Amino acid sequence: MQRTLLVLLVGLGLGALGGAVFGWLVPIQDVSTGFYELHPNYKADYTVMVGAAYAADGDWDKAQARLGRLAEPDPATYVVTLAEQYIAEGRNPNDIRNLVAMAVRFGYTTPPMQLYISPPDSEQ
Amino acid sequence: MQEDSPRFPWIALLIGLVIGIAGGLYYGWYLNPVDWVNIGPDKLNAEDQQEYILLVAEAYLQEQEIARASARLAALDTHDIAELVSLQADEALLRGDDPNEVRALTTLAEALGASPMAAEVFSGTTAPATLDEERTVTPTFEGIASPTPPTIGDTTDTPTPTQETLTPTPQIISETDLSLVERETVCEAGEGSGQIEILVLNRDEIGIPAVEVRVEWGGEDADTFFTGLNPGVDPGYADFSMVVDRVYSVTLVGLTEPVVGLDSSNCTTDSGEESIPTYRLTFSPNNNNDDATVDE
Repeated sequence: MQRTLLVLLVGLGLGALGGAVFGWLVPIQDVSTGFYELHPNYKADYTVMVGAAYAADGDWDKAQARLGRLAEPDPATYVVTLAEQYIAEGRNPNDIRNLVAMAVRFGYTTPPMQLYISPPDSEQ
Repeated sequence: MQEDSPRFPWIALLIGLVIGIAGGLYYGWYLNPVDWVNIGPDKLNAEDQQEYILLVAEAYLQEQEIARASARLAALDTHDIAELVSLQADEALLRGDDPNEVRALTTLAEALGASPMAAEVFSGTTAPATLDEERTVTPTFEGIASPTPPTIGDTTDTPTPTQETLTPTPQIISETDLSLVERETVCEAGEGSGQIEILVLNRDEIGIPAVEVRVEWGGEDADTFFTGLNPGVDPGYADFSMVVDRVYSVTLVGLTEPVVGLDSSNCTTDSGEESIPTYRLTFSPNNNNDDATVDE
């Protein structure tokens, strides 16, 4: 009897484990989600694209709305931090310029950005 | 005395497994479902995927790096990226979305090797824009564009700008480029009567979609719509249903002067019935207005 009970419990445990793993790997709910759950690298690239689009159309409201989709607590700080990170890492100068343009539009200018700030009359 | 059987309790194991799996599934699906974090664009919901594609297209307009745009789109994990972008461009065109967005999507779709319907209007008309430029719709009459799109396979580690492959469209619609070339009034009873039927054609007499049409009546009332919403008739076709006893005017926004005096007072058909007339207006590039035919 004890043996039967033990086997039952082992079966329960194995089944529960397998069922839970299967449930996580094959979810039945819609697993699609929004930009806010993107991997940080994708978030950074998304922000770079927002910067490029902003450089192209100059639509600040649209750029802000797009940044808002990332659900960062402080989009301005996020952009500034990203711009400084890109500068420190020596990334694509155009990307940096676009990010800096958004940071400046947010009202933030830091020393590392100075090199990438376009004069007002030549801003792209 | 008989010795206890050493048989393994398979039934107990089976019952345990079944109950355990059921419980595990309930836990994994409902009590503690998987929480996606740090996802890639392929896990975005449909709306955000479309926004992502649009953003890639807009960034491409500015960056002109097809390899980079392709890499970004590849993150969507879709097998036919070009077709996806092309489809989105056409949907945006038919919805009457912001022309800048349609142009961005069209340009990217073409660069990827697709031929969206929207290319008939927005093909290769763009150059990287600046804040100082006034963004205008630049539909063309040239049909499918001339640029030879670079393919993904052509890209290298150091992608070269592809701007030179985009041939600026030589003809841009300006206010004087289109004019009314035919105006026909028909008095027929039944379905289809009382319509203003608009057809916008290019020099090759191919319909031009996405041309904004404004119909005004009564001094204050107006409606705006686009050609191409009924591609089954013609890509350059649009229509509007009139109400009896009004006088309407039709303008191709930014392209023509208003066509005025479209009176919807009842007319008498050949069979003696009363009906609202139908006006058929055909617009075409303004080669020479002298050859315009206007039937009143």
